[in-house]
Amino acid sequence: MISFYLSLIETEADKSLFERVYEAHRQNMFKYAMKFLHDEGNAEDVVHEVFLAIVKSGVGKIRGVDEEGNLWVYLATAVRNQCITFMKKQRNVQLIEPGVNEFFGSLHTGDSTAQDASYASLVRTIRELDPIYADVLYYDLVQEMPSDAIANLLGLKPATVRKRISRGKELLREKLGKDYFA
Amino acid sequence: MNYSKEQLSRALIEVLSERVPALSDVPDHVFSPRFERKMDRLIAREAAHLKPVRHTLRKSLIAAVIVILLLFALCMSVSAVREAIFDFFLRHFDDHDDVVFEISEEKDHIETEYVITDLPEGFTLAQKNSLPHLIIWDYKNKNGDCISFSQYTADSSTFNAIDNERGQSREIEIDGQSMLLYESQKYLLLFWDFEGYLFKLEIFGKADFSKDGICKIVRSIQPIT
Repeated sequence: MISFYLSLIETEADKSLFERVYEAHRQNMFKYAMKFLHDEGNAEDVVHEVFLAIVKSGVGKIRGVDEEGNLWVYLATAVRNQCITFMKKQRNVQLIEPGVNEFFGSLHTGDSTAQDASYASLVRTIRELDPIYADVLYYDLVQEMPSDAIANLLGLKPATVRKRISRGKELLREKLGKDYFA
Repeated sequence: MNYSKEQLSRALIEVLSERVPALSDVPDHVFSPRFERKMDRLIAREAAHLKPVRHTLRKSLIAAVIVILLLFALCMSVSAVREAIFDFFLRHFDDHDDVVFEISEEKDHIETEYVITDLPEGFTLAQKNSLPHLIIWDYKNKNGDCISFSQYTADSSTFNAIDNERGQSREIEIDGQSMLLYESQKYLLLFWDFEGYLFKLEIFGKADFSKDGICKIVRSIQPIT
C-alpha cells in the first residue's frame, strides 16, 4: 500500500492572486528586464522564470507582500537578480555589472523618509552595501524566506545565497556595531 | 546603536525601492505567443496545483517508492507498438531539470482531444480546464487521491521544469513510447509526446497503483472521436 498524505492547497483565492499579480506587473517586469538584457526574448524568459519561482514556492506566500504594498520591490529585485544571473551565464557580466552599479547610483535620491538621524544613518549604511548583499538580506530579513526559496527566485545557488546572507549580516555588523539588530 | 527589525525592514525596502527606475515612460510590450502560451500553462498549472502534506510513515513511503521503481522496471519490457513523433532531453541545473522537447511540427491549438478511457475504480472527473492549447483533466476518488491528465501543444522551445532536489527522473518506455518518469516521495509524473502533442499524467495520493494499473491508464488514453 502506498501511503501518501495529500491535501489540496489550491484555492480560488490563490489563483486569483496569481492572475492579478501577473496582469498588474508583467509589463513593468519586462521593461525592467529589458534595461539589462536589451533582448525581448531573453527579457520574457526572465519574467517567466520569476513567475515560475513564485509558483514553485507557493503563490500564497506573496499574499502578505502584496498586502503590505511591497510587491513591486519584491518582483523587481527578483527580476534584476535573474537578469544578472542570465548575463553571467552568457559570460557578459564583466561588461554589464559596472553599468548596473552606475545605474543604481544615478537613482539614489539621497533623501530618506526617516524621521530621525539614526534611521537615516541606517538607510545610508544599507545604501552603501553592495546590492548583492542588500537583495538577499531583504528576502531573508524582511520576507523571512528560506535560502532555497530565495535562490530559486533570484536564479542563484542556495550556497551562494547562504554565503551572501552571512557576509551581508557581517558587513552590517561591522558598519553599525556589534548589536545593530535589537 | 540598536535597530528594531521593523526599522531594518523599512530601511531595506526604502533602499531597494530607490533602485527600481520609473518605467511609466516606456511603451507597453506585446508579449510573444510563445511567452503567452508558457504563462497560460503556468496559470493553469497553478489552478490545478496540489501540495502534499508531511506524514510520519517514512519507512512505508520509502518501501512504496522502491516497489514502484521495480514495477516500472517490469513495465518497460512491453513490446513496442507506438512511435514517438519527437524527442525530449533533460537540461540539468542545480535545483531543477528542464525537460526540453525538440520538435519539427508546431500546432497552434489542440485539434484532437485525448482522454483516459479506463479510469481506476472509484475515480470520477472532478474538474476540466480547457484552453485552445491546453486541456487538463482532474480525476479524484472519495479518499482525495488525484489523477491529473494534461494535453498541450508544443512550440519549438517547449520545456517543463522538474524539481530535481526532491525527486529523480529517468526515461522509460511503455509500449515503445518513450516517457519521462519523475518520482518524489509524494508525487509521480509521466511525461511524453505523441502525435504532435505533449502529455502529462500526474498521480497524487495514497491509492494503490500497481504496474499494470499505471500502464493500463496510459494504454487507455484515446482520442475523442
